[in-house]
Amino acid sequence: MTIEIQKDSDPIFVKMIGVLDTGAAEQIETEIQEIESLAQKTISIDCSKLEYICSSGLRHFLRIRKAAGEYGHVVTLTGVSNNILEVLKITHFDSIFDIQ
Amino acid sequence: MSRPKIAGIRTYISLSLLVILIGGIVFTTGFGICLYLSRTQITELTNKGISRDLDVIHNYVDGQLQSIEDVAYALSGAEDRNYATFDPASFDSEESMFVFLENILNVNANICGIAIGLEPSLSVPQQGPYGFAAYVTNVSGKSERLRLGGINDYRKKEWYCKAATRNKPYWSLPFRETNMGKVVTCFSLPLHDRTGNFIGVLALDINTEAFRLKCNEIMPFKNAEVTLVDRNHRFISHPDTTFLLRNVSDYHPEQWNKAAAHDLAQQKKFFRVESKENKSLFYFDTIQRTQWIISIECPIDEVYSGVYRMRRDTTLIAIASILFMIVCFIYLFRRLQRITLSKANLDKEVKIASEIQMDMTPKHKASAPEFEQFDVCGFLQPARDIGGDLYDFFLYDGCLYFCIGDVSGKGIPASLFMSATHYLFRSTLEGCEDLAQAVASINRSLCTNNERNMFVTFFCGKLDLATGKLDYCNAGHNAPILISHEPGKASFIQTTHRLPLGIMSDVTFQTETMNLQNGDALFLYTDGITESMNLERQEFGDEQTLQCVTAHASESTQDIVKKLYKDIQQHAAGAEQSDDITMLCFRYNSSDNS
Repeated sequence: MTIEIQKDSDPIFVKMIGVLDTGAAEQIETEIQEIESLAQKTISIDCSKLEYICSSGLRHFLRIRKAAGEYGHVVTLTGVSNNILEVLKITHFDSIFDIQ
Repeated sequence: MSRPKIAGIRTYISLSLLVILIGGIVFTTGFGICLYLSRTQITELTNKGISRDLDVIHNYVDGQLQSIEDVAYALSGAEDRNYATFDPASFDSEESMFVFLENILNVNANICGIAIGLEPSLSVPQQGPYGFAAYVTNVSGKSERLRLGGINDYRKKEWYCKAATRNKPYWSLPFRETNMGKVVTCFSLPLHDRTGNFIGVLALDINTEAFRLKCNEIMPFKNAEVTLVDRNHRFISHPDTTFLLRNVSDYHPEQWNKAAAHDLAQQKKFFRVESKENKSLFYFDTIQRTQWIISIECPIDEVYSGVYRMRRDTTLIAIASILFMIVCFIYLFRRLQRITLSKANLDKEVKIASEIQMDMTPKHKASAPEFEQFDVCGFLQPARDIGGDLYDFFLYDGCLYFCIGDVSGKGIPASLFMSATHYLFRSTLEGCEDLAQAVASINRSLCTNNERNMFVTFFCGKLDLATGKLDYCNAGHNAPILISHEPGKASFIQTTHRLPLGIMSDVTFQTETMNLQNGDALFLYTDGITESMNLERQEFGDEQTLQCVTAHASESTQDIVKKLYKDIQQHAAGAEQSDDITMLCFRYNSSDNS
């Protein structure tokens, strides 16, 4: 699992690549904290290379969403695959993100 | 609480000892080689140095002896060194002979005495019946005459008779000179007349004190002994003058026997003898002219003092290192012991927590009268020792309340959040009229102080056992499967999705209602089922879950759960279980039918 962050752009582009399972979720703590700290700008997460997301991964999405929410921003998710979209729908996360 | 067994401690001790042992062997071997090389190097250097010292003494002593011989030959006018001629008639009186000898003594500082002895038969002025010999010695810078002859027959003395009988030049054994007490040695040269007849002996004395002083100058080591011995193995030169003319074999018989045998037999110029008894190295050299032996004795302790010092220092360092290593190992051992102990304690506590978690799940007893109207089976298999999934059910006032949930994440953090949810379910749903409000209340409680943004997907329901009316509320959880009483019919129920609990406190939930027929069953599960993966990372999936449940639809709830778990394991085919797996299945048997 790798995360690419374009800090200098506005909105900030975050690209999630690989499988976001429980093991990966425990390892990306630092990156998530960094993204949280950038939440004064709008954030766009590219999920086109995200193959799988577990509930711990959803928790990270939620953290980013909450950090952005404090600045009144909405987090955009792009390139969401069907299986990820399914998970987002089941958990109703599709209601708190702007899915494009 | 019993003390947990500490695995690996014995291995650690064995490994530590092995490391110390191997380290010790490697160090000792390396050090041994280093010591051996140093010793060899020092031996080589010592051999060279001592060889030079021996040469210095050899050249000096031999040069002095040579100069005496040269003077003798010059006086005798000998062309052939073995055949000196002399004409006593050239001296007209004894006086002239003494004057001649005194002159020679005065110009040759290294000569301490000079004598000419003649055969009695010769026609020499004032010759007595026993012959005549003139002897002049140097006493404190003044020459002193001595007329030999008469009863004190000089022809029996070594200096005369040895040269006379052999008719060859002769170096006498060193002796103590009577006037000054010096140790001198004498060179005797037989004299001949023009026809070749032996007529007498010319003798020159040389003081060996100069040799002793030269030997004392050479001091390769502080306690080295540089000595010079004659062919009868008596000291000519020794740092201690009381040793002079004493036999050396009284002190080092073995070394001297070896030296004599070796050197005189093989004519080898230089060799050394290592004596373990005396802990000394002996170096020898021979002066062929007089068959004297130069000896340098070096105490082994001094020769190899550098090596011994290095050995002592390194041994101390090695001992210190080993002690340090032992201290380190003991320190690490204690730390490891603490860590192992605390890990063992933690493992034990996790195990207890896991047992508590399992105890929290309701136990179904088929014989209990309150369970007559439904057949129920729950299953929870955490991916780790402790999980974040939950299921529960209880009967209250003719209704069956049930829930299933999945906390984000796994392990202890998830299990703590799961316990809170579990408690809130029990306390909030009991007797509640509106499920949605009860769930909203649970959600608000879970949102309070939820700094880590944990959440739980949650599905709960309330089945009126009398009517079969089922109220349910879904908070972000997978839709359960309704297994129809009609054979081979099963489908996901329609639910309105809402956010999981713990995310936002102001979320509203929706109560939905359906009616269960006699024999209908509801199968609830967590995503550990649908997202179970095999080694190729293929998910079990919603469709396959539905298919399998449909296939086992006619079985008892216990068998449905058991067989579906078997299906999951078959699908995983050895892949590690990545998420908690939870199932809850109950079948409604209406009271009309019972």
